[in-house]
Amino acid sequence: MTDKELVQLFLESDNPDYAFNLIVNKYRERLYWHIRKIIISHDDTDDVLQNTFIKAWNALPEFRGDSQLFTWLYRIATNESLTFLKKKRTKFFLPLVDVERHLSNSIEDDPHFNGDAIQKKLQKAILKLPEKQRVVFNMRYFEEMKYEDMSAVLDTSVGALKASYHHAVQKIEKFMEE
Amino acid sequence: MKHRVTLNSELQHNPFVVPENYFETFSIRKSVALNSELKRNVFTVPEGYFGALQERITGNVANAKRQTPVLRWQPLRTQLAFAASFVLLISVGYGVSALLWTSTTASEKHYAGSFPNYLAQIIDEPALIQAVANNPKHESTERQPVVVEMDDDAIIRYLADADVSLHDIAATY
Repeated sequence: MTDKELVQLFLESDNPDYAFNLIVNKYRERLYWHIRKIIISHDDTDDVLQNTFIKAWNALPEFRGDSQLFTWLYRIATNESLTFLKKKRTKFFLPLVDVERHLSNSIEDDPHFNGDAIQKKLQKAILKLPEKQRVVFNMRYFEEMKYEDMSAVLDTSVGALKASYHHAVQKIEKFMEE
Repeated sequence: MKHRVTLNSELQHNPFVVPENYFETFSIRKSVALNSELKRNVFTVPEGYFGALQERITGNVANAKRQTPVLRWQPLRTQLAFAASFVLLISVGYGVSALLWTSTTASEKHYAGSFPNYLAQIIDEPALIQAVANNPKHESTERQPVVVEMDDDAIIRYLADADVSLHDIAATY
Protein backbone atom coordinates (compact mmCIF):
# COMPACT_ATOMS: atom_id res chain seq x y z
CA MET A 1 0.00 0.00 0.00
CA THR A 2 1.40 3.42 -0.92
CA ASP A 3 1.82 6.27 1.53
CA LYS A 4 -1.01 8.16 -0.12
CA GLU A 5 -3.34 5.18 0.25
CA LEU A 6 -2.33 4.77 3.89
CA VAL A 7 -3.08 8.41 4.67
CA GLN A 8 -6.39 8.20 2.82
CA LEU A 9 -7.29 5.07 4.75
CA PHE A 10 -6.44 6.80 8.02
CA LEU A 11 -8.43 9.92 7.22
CA GLU A 12 -11.48 8.37 5.62
CA SER A 13 -12.01 4.93 7.12
CA ASP A 14 -14.02 4.15 10.23
CA ASN A 15 -11.00 2.43 11.72
CA PRO A 16 -8.03 4.82 11.69
CA ASP A 17 -6.23 2.60 14.23
CA TYR A 18 -5.83 -0.06 11.58
CA ALA A 19 -4.38 2.41 9.07
CA PHE A 20 -2.06 3.85 11.70
CA ASN A 21 -0.81 0.38 12.61
CA LEU A 22 0.07 -0.13 8.97
CA ILE A 23 2.00 3.14 8.97
CA VAL A 24 3.85 2.17 12.15
CA ASN A 25 4.60 -1.23 10.70
CA LYS A 26 6.00 0.33 7.53
CA TYR A 27 8.20 2.97 9.11
CA ARG A 28 9.09 1.83 12.62
CA GLU A 29 12.48 0.36 11.71
CA ARG A 30 13.58 3.13 9.35
CA LEU A 31 12.68 5.79 11.88
CA TYR A 32 14.29 3.80 14.69
CA TRP A 33 17.64 3.67 12.90
CA HIS A 34 17.40 7.30 11.91
CA ILE A 35 16.86 8.30 15.55
CA ARG A 36 19.38 5.83 16.90
CA LYS A 37 22.18 7.33 14.79
CA ILE A 38 21.48 10.70 16.40
CA ILE A 39 20.72 9.61 19.97
CA ILE A 40 23.09 6.58 20.09
CA SER A 41 21.49 4.99 23.18
CA HIS A 42 18.88 2.33 22.48
CA ASP A 43 16.69 3.21 25.48
CA ASP A 44 16.61 6.90 24.63
CA THR A 45 15.92 6.06 21.00
CA ASP A 46 12.97 3.95 22.07
CA ASP A 47 11.50 6.89 24.03
CA VAL A 48 11.99 9.30 21.13
CA LEU A 49 10.48 6.81 18.67
CA GLN A 50 7.38 6.46 20.86
CA ASN A 51 7.01 10.24 21.04
CA THR A 52 7.47 10.47 17.29
CA PHE A 53 4.57 8.13 16.61
CA ILE A 54 2.35 9.76 19.23
CA LYS A 55 2.96 13.16 17.62
CA ALA A 56 2.29 11.64 14.22
CA TRP A 57 -1.00 10.21 15.49
CA ASN A 58 -2.08 13.57 16.88
CA ALA A 59 -1.09 15.50 13.77
CA LEU A 60 -2.17 13.02 11.11
CA PRO A 61 -5.82 14.21 11.01
CA GLU A 62 -4.48 17.59 9.82
CA PHE A 63 -2.10 16.01 7.29
CA ARG A 64 -3.09 17.39 3.89
CA GLY A 65 -0.45 15.73 1.75
CA ASP A 66 1.60 18.85 1.05
CA SER A 67 4.63 16.65 1.67
CA GLN A 68 5.15 12.91 1.45
CA LEU A 69 4.23 10.87 4.50
CA PHE A 70 7.75 9.51 4.61
CA THR A 71 9.45 12.95 4.70
CA TRP A 72 6.82 14.20 7.16
CA LEU A 73 7.54 11.33 9.58
CA TYR A 74 11.28 11.84 9.18
CA ARG A 75 10.86 15.51 10.00
CA ILE A 76 8.99 14.70 13.20
CA ALA A 77 11.61 12.10 14.16
CA THR A 78 14.49 14.51 13.47
CA ASN A 79 12.90 17.32 15.45
CA GLU A 80 12.10 14.99 18.32
CA SER A 81 15.69 13.72 18.36
CA LEU A 82 17.24 17.19 18.37
CA THR A 83 14.76 18.34 20.99
CA PHE A 84 15.69 15.34 23.13
CA LEU A 85 19.38 16.25 23.00
CA LYS A 86 18.57 19.87 23.78
CA LYS A 87 16.51 18.82 26.80
CA LYS A 88 19.31 16.55 27.93
CA ARG A 89 21.74 19.47 27.85
CA THR A 90 19.31 21.71 29.72
CA LYS A 91 18.40 19.06 32.27
CA PHE A 92 21.97 18.37 33.30
CA PHE A 93 23.30 21.88 32.56
CA LEU A 94 25.71 20.39 30.07
CA PRO A 95 27.47 22.32 27.31
CA LEU A 96 27.31 20.83 23.81
CA VAL A 97 30.77 19.29 23.97
CA ASP A 98 29.90 17.33 27.12
CA VAL A 99 26.84 15.83 25.50
CA GLU A 100 29.05 14.65 22.65
CA ARG A 101 31.50 13.20 25.13
CA HIS A 102 28.70 11.51 27.00
CA LEU A 103 27.36 9.99 23.77
CA SER A 104 30.86 9.03 22.72
CA ASN A 105 31.47 7.26 26.02
CA SER A 106 28.15 5.49 25.75
CA ILE A 107 29.41 3.82 22.56
CA GLU A 108 32.20 2.23 24.59
CA ASP A 109 29.78 0.72 27.07
CA ASP A 110 26.88 0.04 24.71
CA PRO A 111 25.94 -3.65 24.75
CA HIS A 112 24.06 -3.05 21.52
CA PHE A 113 27.09 -1.98 19.52
CA ASN A 114 28.99 -4.61 17.57
CA GLY A 115 31.42 -2.56 15.48
CA ASP A 116 35.19 -2.95 15.37
CA ALA A 117 37.73 -0.30 16.36
CA ILE A 118 37.45 1.54 13.05
CA GLN A 119 33.66 1.58 13.24
CA LYS A 120 33.88 2.88 16.77
CA LYS A 121 36.27 5.62 15.67
CA LEU A 122 33.94 6.55 12.83
CA GLN A 123 31.01 6.92 15.22
CA LYS A 124 33.09 9.07 17.54
CA ALA A 125 34.16 11.21 14.61
CA ILE A 126 30.53 11.67 13.61
CA LEU A 127 29.68 12.72 17.15
CA LYS A 128 32.20 15.54 16.86
CA LEU A 129 30.13 17.15 14.13
CA PRO A 130 27.58 19.85 14.91
CA GLU A 131 24.16 18.25 15.47
CA LYS A 132 22.52 19.27 12.21
CA GLN A 133 25.60 18.40 10.18
CA ARG A 134 25.57 15.03 11.90
CA VAL A 135 21.99 14.48 10.82
CA VAL A 136 22.89 15.44 7.24
CA PHE A 137 25.86 13.08 7.22
CA ASN A 138 23.87 10.15 8.62
CA MET A 139 21.01 10.61 6.18
CA ARG A 140 23.30 10.82 3.20
CA TYR A 141 26.05 8.37 4.12
CA PHE A 142 24.24 5.62 5.99
CA GLU A 143 20.70 5.95 4.71
CA GLU A 144 21.74 7.06 1.20
CA MET A 145 18.80 9.41 1.08
CA LYS A 146 18.38 11.69 -1.93
CA TYR A 147 19.31 15.31 -1.40
CA GLU A 148 15.82 16.33 -2.57
CA ASP A 149 14.21 14.19 0.14
CA MET A 150 16.66 15.46 2.72
CA SER A 151 15.76 18.98 1.66
CA ALA A 152 12.09 18.26 2.34
CA VAL A 153 12.85 16.72 5.74
CA LEU A 154 15.31 19.33 6.97
CA ASP A 155 13.78 22.32 5.19
CA THR A 156 17.19 23.26 3.81
CA SER A 157 18.26 23.87 0.22
CA VAL A 158 19.95 21.08 -1.72
CA GLY A 159 23.03 23.25 -2.24
CA ALA A 160 23.41 23.90 1.47
CA LEU A 161 22.99 20.18 2.21
CA LYS A 162 25.67 19.22 -0.32
CA ALA A 163 28.05 21.75 1.19
CA SER A 164 27.25 20.53 4.69
CA TYR A 165 27.83 16.90 3.72
CA HIS A 166 31.10 17.77 1.98
CA HIS A 167 32.40 19.55 5.08
CA ALA A 168 31.25 16.69 7.29
CA VAL A 169 33.17 14.13 5.20
CA GLN A 170 36.30 16.28 5.33
CA LYS A 171 36.09 16.65 9.11
CA ILE A 172 35.48 12.95 9.64
CA GLU A 173 38.32 11.84 7.40
CA LYS A 174 40.64 14.27 9.11
CA PHE A 175 39.65 12.90 12.52
CA MET A 176 40.09 9.33 11.31
CA GLU A 177 43.63 10.09 10.14
CA GLU A 178 44.71 11.32 13.56
CA MET B 1 76.76 43.65 -19.32
CA LYS B 2 74.14 40.98 -18.81
CA HIS B 3 75.04 37.31 -19.13
CA ARG B 4 72.55 35.51 -21.35
CA VAL B 5 70.91 32.29 -19.92
CA THR B 6 69.52 29.71 -22.31
CA LEU B 7 67.36 26.77 -21.35
CA ASN B 8 69.51 23.84 -22.31
CA SER B 9 69.39 20.19 -21.44
CA GLU B 10 71.59 20.60 -18.38
CA LEU B 11 68.86 22.56 -16.65
CA GLN B 12 66.39 19.75 -17.04
CA HIS B 13 68.14 17.85 -14.23
CA ASN B 14 65.84 17.44 -11.18
CA PRO B 15 67.37 19.32 -8.26
CA PHE B 16 64.97 17.93 -5.65
CA VAL B 17 65.75 14.87 -3.59
CA VAL B 18 63.68 12.64 -1.30
CA PRO B 19 64.56 11.17 2.10
CA GLU B 20 66.47 7.92 1.96
CA ASN B 21 64.23 4.85 1.33
CA TYR B 22 61.21 7.08 0.98
CA PHE B 23 59.71 5.19 -1.94
CA GLU B 24 60.45 1.79 -0.43
CA THR B 25 58.46 2.66 2.69
CA PHE B 26 55.79 4.68 0.98
CA SER B 27 52.16 3.97 1.93
CA ILE B 28 48.95 5.95 1.69
CA ARG B 29 48.64 7.66 5.05
CA LYS B 30 44.96 8.25 4.49
CA SER B 31 44.43 4.61 5.20
CA VAL B 32 41.01 5.08 6.68
CA ALA B 33 38.86 6.82 4.15
CA LEU B 34 35.09 6.73 4.16
CA ASN B 35 34.16 3.81 2.02
CA SER B 36 31.15 1.61 1.62
CA GLU B 37 32.45 -0.97 4.10
CA LEU B 38 31.97 1.49 6.92
CA LYS B 39 28.33 1.88 6.07
CA ARG B 40 27.48 -1.36 7.82
CA ASN B 41 25.04 -0.79 10.66
CA VAL B 42 26.97 -1.38 13.85
CA PHE B 43 24.10 -0.80 16.23
CA THR B 44 21.85 -3.59 17.36
CA VAL B 45 18.57 -3.81 19.25
CA PRO B 46 17.47 -6.18 22.02
CA GLU B 47 16.08 -9.43 20.75
CA GLY B 48 12.42 -9.23 19.73
CA TYR B 49 12.41 -5.46 20.08
CA PHE B 50 10.67 -4.65 16.81
CA GLY B 51 8.15 -7.43 17.37
CA ALA B 52 6.96 -5.87 20.62
CA LEU B 53 7.35 -2.32 19.38
CA GLN B 54 4.10 -2.30 17.42
CA GLU B 55 2.07 -3.30 20.45
CA ARG B 56 3.77 -0.75 22.69
CA ILE B 57 3.23 2.07 20.20
CA THR B 58 -0.42 1.11 19.86
CA GLY B 59 -0.75 1.19 23.67
CA ASN B 60 0.94 4.57 23.92
CA VAL B 61 -1.20 6.01 21.15
CA ALA B 62 -4.31 4.77 22.96
CA ASN B 63 -3.13 6.64 26.08
CA ALA B 64 -2.40 9.69 23.98
CA LYS B 65 -5.90 9.52 22.51
CA ARG B 66 -7.35 9.77 26.00
CA GLN B 67 -5.17 12.82 26.61
CA THR B 68 -5.73 14.31 23.17
CA PRO B 69 -7.75 17.35 24.29
CA VAL B 70 -5.00 18.31 26.72
CA LEU B 71 -2.25 17.75 24.18
CA ARG B 72 -4.04 19.80 21.54
CA TRP B 73 -4.37 22.75 23.88
CA GLN B 74 -0.80 22.60 25.07
CA PRO B 75 0.79 24.42 22.11
CA LEU B 76 -1.74 27.24 22.58
CA ARG B 77 -1.30 27.42 26.33
CA THR B 78 1.02 30.44 26.30
CA GLN B 79 -1.08 32.38 23.81
CA LEU B 80 -4.23 31.60 25.78
CA ALA B 81 -2.58 32.78 28.99
CA PHE B 82 -1.67 36.07 27.31
CA ALA B 83 -5.19 36.46 25.90
CA ALA B 84 -6.77 35.70 29.29
CA SER B 85 -4.47 38.22 31.00
CA PHE B 86 -5.36 40.84 28.43
CA VAL B 87 -9.09 40.23 28.84
CA LEU B 88 -8.72 40.32 32.62
CA LEU B 89 -6.81 43.60 32.42
CA ILE B 90 -9.43 45.16 30.17
CA SER B 91 -12.24 43.90 32.43
CA VAL B 92 -10.61 45.28 35.58
CA GLY B 93 -9.95 48.61 33.86
CA TYR B 94 -13.53 48.80 32.64
CA GLY B 95 -14.86 47.79 36.05
CA VAL B 96 -12.84 50.43 37.87
CA SER B 97 -13.81 53.19 35.43
CA ALA B 98 -17.47 52.13 35.58
CA LEU B 99 -17.35 52.15 39.38
CA LEU B 100 -15.88 55.67 39.49
CA TRP B 101 -18.43 56.94 36.95
CA THR B 102 -21.30 55.41 38.94
CA SER B 103 -20.23 57.03 42.21
CA THR B 104 -19.87 60.43 40.51
CA THR B 105 -23.31 60.11 38.96
CA ALA B 106 -24.85 59.10 42.29
CA SER B 107 -23.35 62.17 43.94
CA GLU B 108 -24.62 64.39 41.17
CA LYS B 109 -28.08 62.81 41.43
CA HIS B 110 -28.12 63.32 45.19
CA TYR B 111 -27.40 67.04 44.92
CA ALA B 112 -29.51 67.55 41.78
CA GLY B 113 -32.56 66.24 43.64
CA SER B 114 -32.19 68.76 46.44
CA PHE B 115 -30.29 71.75 45.12
CA PRO B 116 -31.36 74.08 47.94
CA ASN B 117 -30.06 71.52 50.42
CA TYR B 118 -26.82 71.35 48.47
CA LEU B 119 -26.49 75.15 48.57
CA ALA B 120 -27.34 75.16 52.26
CA GLN B 121 -24.51 72.66 52.81
CA ILE B 122 -21.87 74.62 50.97
CA ILE B 123 -22.87 78.21 51.85
CA ASP B 124 -22.29 79.71 55.26
CA GLU B 125 -25.36 81.99 55.35
CA PRO B 126 -24.44 84.31 58.27
CA ALA B 127 -21.00 84.86 56.77
CA LEU B 128 -22.57 85.67 53.41
CA ILE B 129 -24.96 88.22 54.95
CA GLN B 130 -22.10 89.80 56.81
CA ALA B 131 -20.02 89.98 53.62
CA VAL B 132 -22.86 91.67 51.68
CA ALA B 133 -23.45 94.12 54.48
CA ASN B 134 -19.78 95.12 54.47
CA ASN B 135 -19.64 95.61 50.70
CA PRO B 136 -20.43 99.25 49.78
CA LYS B 137 -21.62 98.24 46.32
CA HIS B 138 -24.49 96.41 47.91
CA GLU B 139 -25.44 99.08 50.45
CA SER B 140 -28.79 99.71 48.73
CA THR B 141 -30.65 96.51 48.29
CA GLU B 142 -34.08 98.10 47.67
CA ARG B 143 -35.61 97.37 44.28
CA GLN B 144 -35.57 100.44 41.98
CA PRO B 145 -38.93 101.32 40.35
CA VAL B 146 -39.02 100.06 36.83
CA VAL B 147 -42.26 101.67 35.68
CA VAL B 148 -42.61 105.41 35.80
CA GLU B 149 -45.99 106.41 37.03
CA MET B 150 -47.94 108.34 34.37
CA ASP B 151 -51.29 110.14 34.54
CA ASP B 152 -54.08 109.56 31.98
CA ASP B 153 -53.24 112.69 29.93
CA ALA B 154 -49.68 111.56 29.56
CA ILE B 155 -50.79 108.11 28.44
CA ILE B 156 -53.11 109.56 25.85
CA ARG B 157 -50.33 111.80 24.54
CA TYR B 158 -47.95 108.83 24.34
CA LEU B 159 -50.46 106.78 22.40
CA ALA B 160 -51.25 109.64 20.07
CA ASP B 161 -47.53 110.12 19.37
CA ALA B 162 -47.30 106.40 18.62
CA ASP B 163 -50.18 106.73 16.15
CA VAL B 164 -52.40 104.30 18.06
CA SER B 165 -56.12 105.14 17.96
CA LEU B 166 -58.37 104.67 20.93
CA HIS B 167 -60.78 102.71 18.69
CA ASP B 168 -58.07 100.08 18.10
CA ILE B 169 -57.35 99.82 21.78
CA ALA B 170 -61.03 99.36 22.53
CA ALA B 171 -61.36 96.65 19.85
CA THR B 172 -58.34 94.82 21.24
CA TYR B 173 -59.39 94.81 24.87
